[in-house]
Amino acid sequence: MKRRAASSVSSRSLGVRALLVIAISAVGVAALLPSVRGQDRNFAGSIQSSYLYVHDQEDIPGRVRDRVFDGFTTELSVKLAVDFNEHISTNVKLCYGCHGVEIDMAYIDLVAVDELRFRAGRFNPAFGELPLRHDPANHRTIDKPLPYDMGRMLRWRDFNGSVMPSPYVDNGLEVSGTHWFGYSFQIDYAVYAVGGFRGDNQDDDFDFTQSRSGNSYYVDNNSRPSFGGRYAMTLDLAEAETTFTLGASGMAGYYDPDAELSYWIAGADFYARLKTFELRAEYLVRRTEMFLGDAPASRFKYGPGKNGFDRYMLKEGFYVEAIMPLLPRFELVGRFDGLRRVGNVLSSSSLSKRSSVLRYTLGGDVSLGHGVRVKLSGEYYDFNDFKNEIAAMLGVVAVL
Amino acid sequence: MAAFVLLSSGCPSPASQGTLYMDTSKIPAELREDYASFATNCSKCHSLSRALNAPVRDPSHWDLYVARMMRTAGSAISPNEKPHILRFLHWYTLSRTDSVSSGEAYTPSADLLNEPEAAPVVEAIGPEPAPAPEPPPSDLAPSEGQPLEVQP
Repeated sequence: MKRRAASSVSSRSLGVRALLVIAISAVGVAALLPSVRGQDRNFAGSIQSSYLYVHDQEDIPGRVRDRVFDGFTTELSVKLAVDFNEHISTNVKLCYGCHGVEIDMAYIDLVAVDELRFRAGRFNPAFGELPLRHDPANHRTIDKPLPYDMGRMLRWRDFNGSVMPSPYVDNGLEVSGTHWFGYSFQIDYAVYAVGGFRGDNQDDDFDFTQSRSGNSYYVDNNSRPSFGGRYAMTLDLAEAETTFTLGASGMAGYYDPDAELSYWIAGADFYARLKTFELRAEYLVRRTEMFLGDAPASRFKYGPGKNGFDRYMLKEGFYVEAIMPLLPRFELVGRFDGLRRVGNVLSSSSLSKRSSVLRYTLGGDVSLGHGVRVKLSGEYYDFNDFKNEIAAMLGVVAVL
Repeated sequence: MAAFVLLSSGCPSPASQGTLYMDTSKIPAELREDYASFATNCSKCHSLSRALNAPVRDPSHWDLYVARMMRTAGSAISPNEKPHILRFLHWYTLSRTDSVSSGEAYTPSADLLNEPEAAPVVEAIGPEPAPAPEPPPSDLAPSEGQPLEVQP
């Protein structure tokens, strides 16, 4: 415990210093920037309304409901971006979904040069490829891939969500940049200090509702920043209409108010475009420390191992997604994704020590014009702890 | 499902600007390549309708906006593709705001393609320059070739 305390102090000191360096740099850049000469406002948004049909859903063990239909699940987002000049812009975005209304973005963007950019406020920290297009109007399926799912997958409550529900929004500071080597090779980096994921002192996993609840005024629950970053390389062969991107991301911190329960997340992503054909693949893994308590034998479902109770659980997920335009207004989408949780579970959990799901999705996306699209998909869930499920989703999305 | 297929293979219409589809016959021939650059790059992260339906009336808006998109990680919008994207968006915005009628020939700026970091395109295809100021009254006008004397 002493070693942990010493480590905590050291980590906290390092974090404070890093924040100071970032803040001073941001102020310096702002002071050097030319005066604001005007504003350019851009309003954007989207709305998606979807319907989920599940054939014979087993919502609790032993109870099977025939033909379950969840209708009119709506996701709405509106965003205002103001470009003061080429160096300063602000973004404010409001979202409405199953979680109610929340602030998805509220940040100031300072750009010294393309290689040095600061974001301060509430934003989506750079992690992985999907968060770049997390808005329902930007991705082709109604729901997100399992590693990023935020409440749309079947058995979501049993798994307590995914590896990193998207959009992951947090408060903090981010330094990022992009640089082109010639006209074909691009590198991007981002490092940030944010509040981090949240939970309670006696939790065994994150409590995602705390991350997006305005009730706590979005304040960091443990006053201890989490740190993360992303690095990506892009090869763009414009003549061949081919693009490849390879990225890696990481993040680490504490999620409980006492800053005793640690976590880290790592991810790798790949993107390829060959003319109009697109292929995406990502892998995410998160190790989360669980609260054992004084009597873990009564708290957890499984007994101790050779070294006692394991205080860590691993949650990992992947997806591979292919998009192929077949007709002028129609794209075919195929996706294979999975999610697995490895580790002890609470005695009340319906999961086993190694619980997983594989999902097979085939869908389509039709453009009706004026930014309105219809999405349709069929999904097959292959659970190892539960009955397999077949689901169908139909949605309409419009760009505002 | 039948309706789904029917919709997806429907007749093209100038108003159809969706995920990938736009009636490119309305685009001047010299801008088709620019449109292709716009479609390839911008559709990586969002639907084209995001840009095509944006309530933008000032073409210069796109200069800052595309610069911001270039800084998005993995955007793959290279410095030499930027002017192509801008040239299409400028033309498209002007055509929507009736500054350029859809059938009117569009003369692109050669400089724009030669210089990736060229000045905003709006200067090349923007509105007519402001009229010259009114000449001074004849009794104050200098004679030809003589400098104007400023009264104290």
